[in-house]
Amino acid sequence: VNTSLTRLAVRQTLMVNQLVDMEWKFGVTVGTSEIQKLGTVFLQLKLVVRKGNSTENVYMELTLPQFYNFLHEMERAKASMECFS
Amino acid sequence: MSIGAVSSQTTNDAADVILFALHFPCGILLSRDLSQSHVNMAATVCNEDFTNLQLLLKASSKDAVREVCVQSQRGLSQRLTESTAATLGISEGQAAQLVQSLHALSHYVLFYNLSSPEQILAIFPESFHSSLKNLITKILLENSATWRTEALSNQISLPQLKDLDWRVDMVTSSDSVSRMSVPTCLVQLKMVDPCSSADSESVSSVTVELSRESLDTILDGLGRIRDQLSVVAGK
Repeated sequence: VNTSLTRLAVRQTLMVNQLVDMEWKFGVTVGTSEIQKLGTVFLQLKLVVRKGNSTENVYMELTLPQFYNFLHEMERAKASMECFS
Repeated sequence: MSIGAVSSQTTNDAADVILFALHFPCGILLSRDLSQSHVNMAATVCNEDFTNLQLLLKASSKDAVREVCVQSQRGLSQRLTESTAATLGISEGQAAQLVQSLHALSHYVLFYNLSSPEQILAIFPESFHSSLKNLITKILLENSATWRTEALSNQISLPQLKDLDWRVDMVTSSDSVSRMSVPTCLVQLKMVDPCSSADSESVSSVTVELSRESLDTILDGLGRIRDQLSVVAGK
């Protein structure tokens, strides 16, 4: 009982701009108004951020190198978090 | 383009990826509406353009021709019209038309990715001045790789992730729990909105907080993207 109450209380702790969801899609850019035939990969992310009582969506696009960098940094952050457990 | 038509293509690399996406719907989506036609400048070069191009015969040197061609690819500007009129000894009206015609030609070559001399020479009419035709073709071929790279980096896009910084905190106390030891992660994402002018790039940033569970979920999602990317890359 003590642990679940604590867990509930911990969950009440304020979080600023809490990330509540991440959606993604990726595919191929087949062409643009300047270049008829392309075949480059694109990746788009949508982050859903809780701001007060409502949420805000943040949209962004990543190239492949940016994506791998993002993944690498998040792995480092996780490793840092696990140091404390 | 119907699905039937796509499934019959086997040679083009881009089409192979599209084929994969249509038959294995595991989260890979096509970015572009294939039915969208070119509503911007129609990529065509007309007879009037070739007439205007012959104004280049008034240039005093090959380098002068090269200069006008390269500058025109970027588009029309008052400064360019004036300098072209001065260099070639023609009126500003004629200079403006010449720049527009050169722009149409370089746009055409870039759009259809014409990469061999034969392909470019074939666009010119029979009656066009032969040496000028060869010179223009040479200039277009010299620059097309650079122009393609520029077009790729200038293409429209959602705000691009340019920088990422993070911080891991250990929360030791809060108004609801006096003593605890809970790690939390702050991530700052800096995005740049690609605008037409390079000087005024709009940078926006967002800082989000992630619990350990959220970070695990994110990593799970990113891992799935990485796996699917390596499948696509393998094709």
